[in-house]
Amino acid sequence: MSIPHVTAIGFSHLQAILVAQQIREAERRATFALETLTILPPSNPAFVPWCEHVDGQCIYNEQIGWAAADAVKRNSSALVVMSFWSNQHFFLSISNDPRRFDFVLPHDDDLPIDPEAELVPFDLMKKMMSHIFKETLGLVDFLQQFYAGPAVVTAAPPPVDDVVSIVNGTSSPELDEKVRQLGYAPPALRYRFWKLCEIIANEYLSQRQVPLLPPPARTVRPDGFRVREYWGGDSIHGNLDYGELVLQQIDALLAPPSG
Amino acid sequence: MSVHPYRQLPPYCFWRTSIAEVAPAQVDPVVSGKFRIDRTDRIVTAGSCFAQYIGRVLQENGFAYSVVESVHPMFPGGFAEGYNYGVFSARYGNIYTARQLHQLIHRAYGNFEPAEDVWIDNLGRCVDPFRPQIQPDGFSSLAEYRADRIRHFAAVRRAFETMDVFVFTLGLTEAWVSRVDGAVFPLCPGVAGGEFDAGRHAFVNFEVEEVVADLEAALSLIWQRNSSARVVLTVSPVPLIATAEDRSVLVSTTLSKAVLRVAAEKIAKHHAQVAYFPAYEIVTGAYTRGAYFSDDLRSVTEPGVAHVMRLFLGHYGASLDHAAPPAPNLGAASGASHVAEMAAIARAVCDEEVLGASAP
Repeated sequence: MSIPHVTAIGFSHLQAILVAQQIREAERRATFALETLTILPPSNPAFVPWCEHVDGQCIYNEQIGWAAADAVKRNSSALVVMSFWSNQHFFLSISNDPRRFDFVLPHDDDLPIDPEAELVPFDLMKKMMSHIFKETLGLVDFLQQFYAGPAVVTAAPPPVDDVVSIVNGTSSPELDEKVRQLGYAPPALRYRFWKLCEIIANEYLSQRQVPLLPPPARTVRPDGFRVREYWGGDSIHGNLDYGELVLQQIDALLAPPSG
Repeated sequence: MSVHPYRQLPPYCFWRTSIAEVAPAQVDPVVSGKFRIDRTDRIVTAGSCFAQYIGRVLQENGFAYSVVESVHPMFPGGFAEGYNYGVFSARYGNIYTARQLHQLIHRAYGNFEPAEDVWIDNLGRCVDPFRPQIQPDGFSSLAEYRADRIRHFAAVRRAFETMDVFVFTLGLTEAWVSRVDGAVFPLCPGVAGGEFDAGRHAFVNFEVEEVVADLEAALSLIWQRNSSARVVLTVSPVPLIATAEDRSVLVSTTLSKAVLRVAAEKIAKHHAQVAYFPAYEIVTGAYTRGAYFSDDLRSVTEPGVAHVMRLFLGHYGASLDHAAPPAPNLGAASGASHVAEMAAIARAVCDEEVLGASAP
């Protein structure tokens, strides 16, 4: 019996999915075939740069579009999984800013506000993050010029709250140095940035009828932070178990509707 | 020739020699400043729209214009337009009446909590009745609104307690107040948020005695905490955009400005550390033949502002022969570069180093 095919395209968060899928395949329990197109230099030099700025506009690399279209057509993919939400929520919330700031989410924000921080308006923060996020989210529109069919965008794994684990654990010596210089930002700020990105992604994607796949429920604590069991080798990425749960979400999307 | 007091008067006391026969740009009704403002003096501005010009020009001329609520440098130029950062020293928006100034200080020190202190729309967004246009779409939630207000009041206290000079521009006598507790609104409820309710909102047109009392009370509160603060009062030359009185807006404008002018005079006469600066006269004087108003006959033209500020700097600004200290810096430059730097690091991280991070 043939199994469905899924094409996955995106940035570093794909890695957890890919590794989990490799284990499934090794153990002969894969429920779908997966082809991943990773937009990262070592994986696919043809995709570099993925965006070139001309007169302030991002011109996307057409190689990515053609490769995605080819994979979808060649495999008759039932679903395209896009992992375009990478570290937008993370890089401003790992170390303190020289001028500490915080903001308040419009709903369900019970976390403490940094008493030493100035408060910036949520609307203004959203405007800026939308600006930062628009180039990667714009890949959704770009890719849809090359093929039509079901697609989902995965959310980045929820933030981690344990600041101790962040020191020397950002995957970047430069970020670690920032943490050493300025101190690590309060966990609440990381959560707020993650949630803000979720709001922005949801608004953007809902206008395009592309769903945002939330983090697997088991990986999220009631307060919104990631369950420790699903932490990866650094403070942003999910681990193999996280990837497996995302695969299970994809299984559910591929399953025929019951009833 | 008979001797009488006018024979001894200087030229500026005579219309012909100081106004009619002087080139308009040279007209100087200030004559002399009551005190000097050094470039190290921290200056706080508040008041009606016209006060915005004063802060801007002081800043451009190297004075220590105090901005206690400035835009965070992570936001690139123009990004925060409409959020009223730096328009005045703090984000209190326009303070049109002396009552409003008094109320702001009272509230900043926790001595008055208006009954009607937030307007919430059906989407849950909140408008501050006392600064209804401080953000383009209000606040995103009640929690944000309240958190911002706590910080705003702290900033107001900091501004008033650390300033050397307070420049306040009186704008209006007409206002709308709460019938419940007398809280005064900068704009009629319903105009830029909230809903007008004749049962809860009442029109007032403050008289001279009330404006004087409110100014005295406001300044007294300031001096309780900052006894050396000097004050420059001005009256906005901008006419009323509308009157709630049943009469011509022109007549209401004249009365309103006259009341404010008299109130400012009384306060300045009574306090050695309060000066009246005649911005109103410089802009509206007949010698300009209306040249300092734009086509709408309300907005003050750049030459008008320039004339006002030239005289202000000339009569109140201390000598410019020493370098001005840098304006209070809350980390602006480092903050801006921090965001750019973090974004660059993030791109690098995203590009290659994290590939192995998902390993079990």
